[in-house]
Amino acid sequence: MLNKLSSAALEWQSLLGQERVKIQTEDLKRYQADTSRVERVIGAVLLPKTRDEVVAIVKIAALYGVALYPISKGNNWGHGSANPVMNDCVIVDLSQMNALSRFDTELGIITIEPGVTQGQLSDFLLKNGDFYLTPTTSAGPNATILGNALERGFGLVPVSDHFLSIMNLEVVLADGSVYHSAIHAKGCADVCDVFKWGIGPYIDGIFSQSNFGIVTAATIALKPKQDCMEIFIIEFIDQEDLESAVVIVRKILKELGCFASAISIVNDLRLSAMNTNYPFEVIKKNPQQAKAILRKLAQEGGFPPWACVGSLYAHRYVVDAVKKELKKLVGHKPWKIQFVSKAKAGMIEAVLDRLPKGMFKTIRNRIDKINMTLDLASGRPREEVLHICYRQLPGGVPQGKTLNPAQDGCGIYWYVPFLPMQADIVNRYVNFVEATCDAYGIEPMIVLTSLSERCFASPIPIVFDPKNIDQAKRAKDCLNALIEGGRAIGVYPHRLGIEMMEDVVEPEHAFWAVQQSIKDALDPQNIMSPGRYSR
Amino acid sequence: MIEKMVAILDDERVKTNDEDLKPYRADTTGVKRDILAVVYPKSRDEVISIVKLAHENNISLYPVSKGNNWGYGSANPASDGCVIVMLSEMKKISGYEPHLGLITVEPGVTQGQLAKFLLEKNDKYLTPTTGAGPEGSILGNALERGYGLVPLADHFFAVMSLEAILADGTIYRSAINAKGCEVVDRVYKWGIGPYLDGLFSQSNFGIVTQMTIGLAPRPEHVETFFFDVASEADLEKTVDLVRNILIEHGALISSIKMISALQLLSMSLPFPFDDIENTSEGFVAHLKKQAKKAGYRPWTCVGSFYGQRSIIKAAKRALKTKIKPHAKRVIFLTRARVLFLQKLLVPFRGLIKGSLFMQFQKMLIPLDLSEGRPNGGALALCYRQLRRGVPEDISNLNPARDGCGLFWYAPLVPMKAALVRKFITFVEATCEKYRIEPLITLSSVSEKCFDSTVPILFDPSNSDQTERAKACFQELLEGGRQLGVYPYRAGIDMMKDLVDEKQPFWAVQRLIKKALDPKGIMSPGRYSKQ
Repeated sequence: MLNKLSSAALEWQSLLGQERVKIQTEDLKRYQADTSRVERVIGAVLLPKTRDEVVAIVKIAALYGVALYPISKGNNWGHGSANPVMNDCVIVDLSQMNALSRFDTELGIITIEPGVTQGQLSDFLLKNGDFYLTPTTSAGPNATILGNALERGFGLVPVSDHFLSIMNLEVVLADGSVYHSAIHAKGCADVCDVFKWGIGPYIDGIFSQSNFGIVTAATIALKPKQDCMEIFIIEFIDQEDLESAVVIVRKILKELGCFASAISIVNDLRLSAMNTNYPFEVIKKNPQQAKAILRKLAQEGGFPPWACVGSLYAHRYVVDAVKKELKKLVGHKPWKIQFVSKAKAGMIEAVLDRLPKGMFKTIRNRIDKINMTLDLASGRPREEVLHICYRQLPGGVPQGKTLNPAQDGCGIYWYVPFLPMQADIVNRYVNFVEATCDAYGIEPMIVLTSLSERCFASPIPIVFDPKNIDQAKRAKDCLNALIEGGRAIGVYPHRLGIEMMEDVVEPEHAFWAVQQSIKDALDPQNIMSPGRYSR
Repeated sequence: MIEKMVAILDDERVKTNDEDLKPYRADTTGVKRDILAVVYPKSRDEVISIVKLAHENNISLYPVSKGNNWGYGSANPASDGCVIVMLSEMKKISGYEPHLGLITVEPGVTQGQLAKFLLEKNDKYLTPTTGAGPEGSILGNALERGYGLVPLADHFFAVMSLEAILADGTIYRSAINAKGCEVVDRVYKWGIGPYLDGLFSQSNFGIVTQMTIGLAPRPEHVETFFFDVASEADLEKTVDLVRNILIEHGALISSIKMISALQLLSMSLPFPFDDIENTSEGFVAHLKKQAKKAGYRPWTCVGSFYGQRSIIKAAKRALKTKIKPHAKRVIFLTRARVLFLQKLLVPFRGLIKGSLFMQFQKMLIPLDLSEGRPNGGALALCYRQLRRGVPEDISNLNPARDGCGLFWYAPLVPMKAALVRKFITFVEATCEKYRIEPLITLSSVSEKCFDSTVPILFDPSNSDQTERAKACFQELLEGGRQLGVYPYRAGIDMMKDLVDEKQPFWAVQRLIKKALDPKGIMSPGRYSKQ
């Protein structure tokens, strides 16, 4: 292995130059950092700048039988960060491939390379007329667009299904050939940019959540901005209102879904966590009562047991009618519904600015959060979304530096199952999550985000301090218990971390037999991301 | 082999007689295929037995849902010597979820059958309706990535999960299903792990025996709008206008169609067989003149609003303002308004021209379609080049059986004004060359892309016209490709043109085919070299 690796490394060095082939332990450390205690042996890191370099890298890897592991930027926090699934892989860090091209202002399409980040795309779109929304997520400005889309991430603005917005892909296969869709092969590249399925079998999809090739570019469809954007917040009163919240969200999405982005149902503890620090001291004194303490704190902070947050995008002529219909759907229950536009938030802020700084601290804090939500909903990524990762660190969020939860020593696993938008199932699921988190002493911060009018994804952050060995172990056990127990009640994660890949693959099942025969056919040497969504 | 099939299915469901195979050989594109037999399984298990038998005996199978793939080969296999697996008897509807808008269908379930089912379930969801009529299969259309006339128009996108029988007889289901999470499997399209379901669309990797599709909720209100543009020179402006309407009001509009004057003419008046023989002007020019006389402007744009009454009311105002600088008027139509006008006209039935009355009768056909009520009205077009015209009974039209001639040329056209102009000019010139009516419609697939449907109609008993139609189709395909547009699906005779194994895409396709179906028993030649 070592011999093969060093021979390959020599060739890579002559291809890329010394500085773009990292083999020093010190240089590799950055890639080994993670938000869990996972440890992977990494052979080397390669930093190509072009597709042709990727092709050459793959050919060298094939020649020496060395496994590669492509990452876009390695900011897959909570799922393994930059770490490969298997030991001894050579990481292909695509972050230097960050060109934007083929932007069509009229059609709202753009071709991006793997290194393009949310922040970069957002700046670019702002400079070029500000007509389109950047697909923002809760991973912040430094996370890549392409990596997220290929992992089938979802975001806060339409098109919130990021994989759906991929119109076409360019992929370097294990034999070094470059895959494009069938219509592209016919010389009609412009058609490929505006139509997802192409002609012939829909093969592009096999390059998402898989290990069949290295995606070097993709064209994505952008959603045009509307004249009016407002966020809406519905506050519920009782814990038992969850079922009503599910029914209301489903109704909104069925009847007004085309005007709304993803809608989230958020519990009190998550709301409270966004606004207050973890009460280390109080809980240390009485760890058995952690959940009760947190719940009481949330109550004192004025956070409702459940709140729905969503945003509306509409033409100025119809926005009032849409809001009226939305109010009608929520009904005459004692639940409060509020609409906030940028203008309204700005007005409140202006008033607060005139008052002494010490006054209305809670409102000031909330306005900050609302401004953040407004930014995210208008496609401006914000770094603050990452604060949740720092919640269990005694030092809190570091000031004055770019946040990177893996480098900053955070501990977080994401458990993100998807579940049908049915009140009884959601209820059972929430009870299960609360009970499981409780059993492992983990704060149950629950969010249900709609992926469609039929389906929620529920991103549960399992936050811990990796330096606290006991807590770290509890966190991991909690994740395993959530996955296993979730499965028993009929829900399963929509994406997996590197340590969970073995759990998903069931070799005796036809799906995985098909996956394996495709893998054997396309990558007989298994040099592409061994073990990733694969045996 | 046939005896063994009989052992599985009984005599009745294995047909080898020439007479019995004849309906399967009928087609609108004039293809001729040798068909070994037709078998009619009734269940997934019977499909598995058939596949295993075919696998052991190296017999090629060719599954069809209903065989109503008119304009693309109908029921005919891509290659000679196949056994057609006719799935029309597998027509179970199950798993209806009134809250989630989900339903599971087998291949034989038709638009008409689903519409009836949903109507009986309180009419809460729209049937994915196409112009193919009530006898078109839902599953077949979705797998061919067909487009419909109501929201959730991308029928393949609506496929949430599917079950397929592979060449070795195993049953493919998604990875989530393998985890025992069947409900989740049905609510989320992509599942977990590589998205493999998509491999079973437009391909020959297996036999899909059922699928769950998402349904669009029936809205409170549907209202159709029309506007037309006065001059051919306004084409570019109209494309931009359509795109801007979709950008601003796409939330309420499923699709906007730009319909050419000749297409509209074809829907209201019979083909002028005799006039056109004697005309001294060009073929297309003559037809355009006639369209003008009938009052049709070069382009008519049609779309429907779906949603709440109050929101549509506001959107109508916005639309009027938007359209005003470009077109004289916008007409809004609802079912209630048409019925009212019809009633109003009844007393004057004798006084007004028959054709106007008929126009109002006909208006209900597109309105029905836009409300997710399938009907065969759109199929009448296929009969246009037959001198005998449309059969009296339009409730059971079957263009292949009835001897119609039709190729569908349906390229995807990016919504760029300059490209659309080039495309239209090219289609008209090519049609002129071959004396084929250029019946052009551009239907928006999104605010970024049109799918243009150009039916190439001919009379198969007229061999000269048949040759011209074929040549016209070939030239449209190749010339269109050079312009940068290409169809979204292929007829059985087009597969050879499409597959180019030097390209990595088709190399990957071939590797997958070899891995999943090494003997090549599944639909040989369908979106595939083998």
